[in-house]
Amino acid sequence: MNFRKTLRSLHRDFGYFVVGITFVYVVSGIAMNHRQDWNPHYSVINEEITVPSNDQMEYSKDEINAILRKFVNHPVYKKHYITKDATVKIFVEEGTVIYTPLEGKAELELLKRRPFWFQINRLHLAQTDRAWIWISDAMSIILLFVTISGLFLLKGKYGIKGRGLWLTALGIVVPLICILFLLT
Amino acid sequence: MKKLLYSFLFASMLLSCANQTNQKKEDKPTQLAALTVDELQSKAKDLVGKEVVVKGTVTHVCKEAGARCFVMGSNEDINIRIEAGKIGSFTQEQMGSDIEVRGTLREVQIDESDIKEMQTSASEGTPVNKEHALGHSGQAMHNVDGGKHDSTSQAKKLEQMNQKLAESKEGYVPVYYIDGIELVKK
Repeated sequence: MNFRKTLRSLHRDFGYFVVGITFVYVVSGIAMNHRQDWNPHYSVINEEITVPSNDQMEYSKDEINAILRKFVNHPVYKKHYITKDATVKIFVEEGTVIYTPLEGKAELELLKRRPFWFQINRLHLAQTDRAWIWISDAMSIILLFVTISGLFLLKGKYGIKGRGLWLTALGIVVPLICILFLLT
Repeated sequence: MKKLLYSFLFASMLLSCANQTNQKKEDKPTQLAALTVDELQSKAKDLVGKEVVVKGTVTHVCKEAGARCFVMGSNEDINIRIEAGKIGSFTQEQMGSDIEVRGTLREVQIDESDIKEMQTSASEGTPVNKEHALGHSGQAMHNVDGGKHDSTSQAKKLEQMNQKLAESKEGYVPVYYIDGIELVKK
């Protein structure tokens, strides 16, 4: 059997197979590259309300719930405690409320999972079941095979002995420059 | 079609080999008694490097990727950082929940130069929280990631750290954290 023909078939079939995982890694990779500009996992919702100020130092669950009901975003109570700074930290479903009785204000912060992004980012970061680590390892090996086999598919001036060599070298040099000049 | 079949046979062989290795390396189940954060912090010096189980209320989860969380004891000053490690990650939904985690207790020694570095960076407006010694507060990312209301206490925490260093016989302040192995109770 012709080696190049076999390689082409394997490259094609494995190439189809890794389209999904390539998409996951590339799209989530771009999302997480820009994490200084946005939170790729959660969307943050902030809301502040004013309530009558007081110097009370203990609160029952009912009293806290009465404050929570004033928020437009309807946070659901989980737990609360009083801090040393005389603020009340309230844990709610998907977030927290910092209630400052002396100032008469309460600040809600909700972190809601970004659908799709949250899931693909978790896959990218392998923050899943151990099985996914092995699955992604295996698929990454296949992806590597697709990449390397791609180098040897074409003969002639567009193959690895011609234009292919230069473009491959360029693709290696770019991250190498970053490593040498930006990370040292 | 035949080649396609061979290709996927090869892929499934890879996966099955991987799964077998995974099964062999399963972590042994815990028999350790769960300690409260207060108990753990008081015994921490003798437990460094050992496996422990700790229980407490989650007060903060790293908003970037859930790589770590902070678990509180009887009050806000008694807490411990838990690195997700083998657990994978923590989620924001765990905030305020009582969890139980098995992991290895580690120690970081914060000395005078570390504290000076943190003070200098704080005064320059680019706060550094070395080894999360100051807890979860004070990170510049908070305007993007949420949690901006936590950053106010950093100066106070640095002050406390300095005080602890002055009282320390060893010349450093030990900061303990846990390398997570298993989430025993979610």
